[in-house]
Amino acid sequence: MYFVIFYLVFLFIFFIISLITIKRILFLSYPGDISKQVILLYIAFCLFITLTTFLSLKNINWSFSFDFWKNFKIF
Amino acid sequence: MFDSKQIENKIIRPEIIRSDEQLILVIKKHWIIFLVPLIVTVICIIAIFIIFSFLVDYFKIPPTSFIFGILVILKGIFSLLIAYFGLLGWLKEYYDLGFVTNKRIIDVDQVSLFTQEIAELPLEKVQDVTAKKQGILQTYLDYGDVFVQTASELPNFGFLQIPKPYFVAQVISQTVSQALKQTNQNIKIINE
Repeated sequence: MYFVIFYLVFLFIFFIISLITIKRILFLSYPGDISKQVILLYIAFCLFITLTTFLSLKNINWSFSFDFWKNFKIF
Repeated sequence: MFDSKQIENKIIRPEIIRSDEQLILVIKKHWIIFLVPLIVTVICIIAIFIIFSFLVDYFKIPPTSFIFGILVILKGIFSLLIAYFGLLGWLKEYYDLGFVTNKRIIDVDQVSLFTQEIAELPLEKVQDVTAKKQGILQTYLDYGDVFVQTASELPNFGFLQIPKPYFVAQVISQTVSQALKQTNQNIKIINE
């Protein structure tokens, strides 16, 4: 469960940094440039990754089990 | 992506273009420059997904297990970080601009997110303008480099990998000629 909290903290910091970056890009932009399309694409991708990650984490059993190591094979 | 029309000064980088100047040209990088970083970003993200799938399949990790959860989180973190650094790489290239006004040539170098180097050159100091295209790709896609040679104490300007370099060189030369003509006329009026 601590990993989910770690991921949430990472997401929060990532969100803040992304917001600062997007604000900077909007400041640098000029009429006719593609900054808005790029920003939209970036936001859409980030949302997609975040949503799919949380959906994958929904059914995780966070109690650690050593059963996994029975399948651990290098060769 | 190359815009040679006259643009309203007040809406293009007012902190760089003065109100008493007329903007003649905005020089941007050719679209091909952004293709390689974009492809690299996409490949890296796809690679992460492939590595994740490989690890899950090879080690037969159950989708409800603790280890699967960690891998999913790591996949999410790395994907987001790669997307962010791809965005930064794009920003660095896309906002490397050049402006030609009726008074100056301005080179804006976007070094990083918050670091910008702005160099300007009065048109009267321009001595020579050279355009260069090298190789098959540059010839077919019509992009290349323009170098502006200046008086000895000033650094030379270079606009690299820009579309229509010969046209840009021509516009700069014409603008310089007009600026020199205007300067000579002003000197004549003062001396009368």
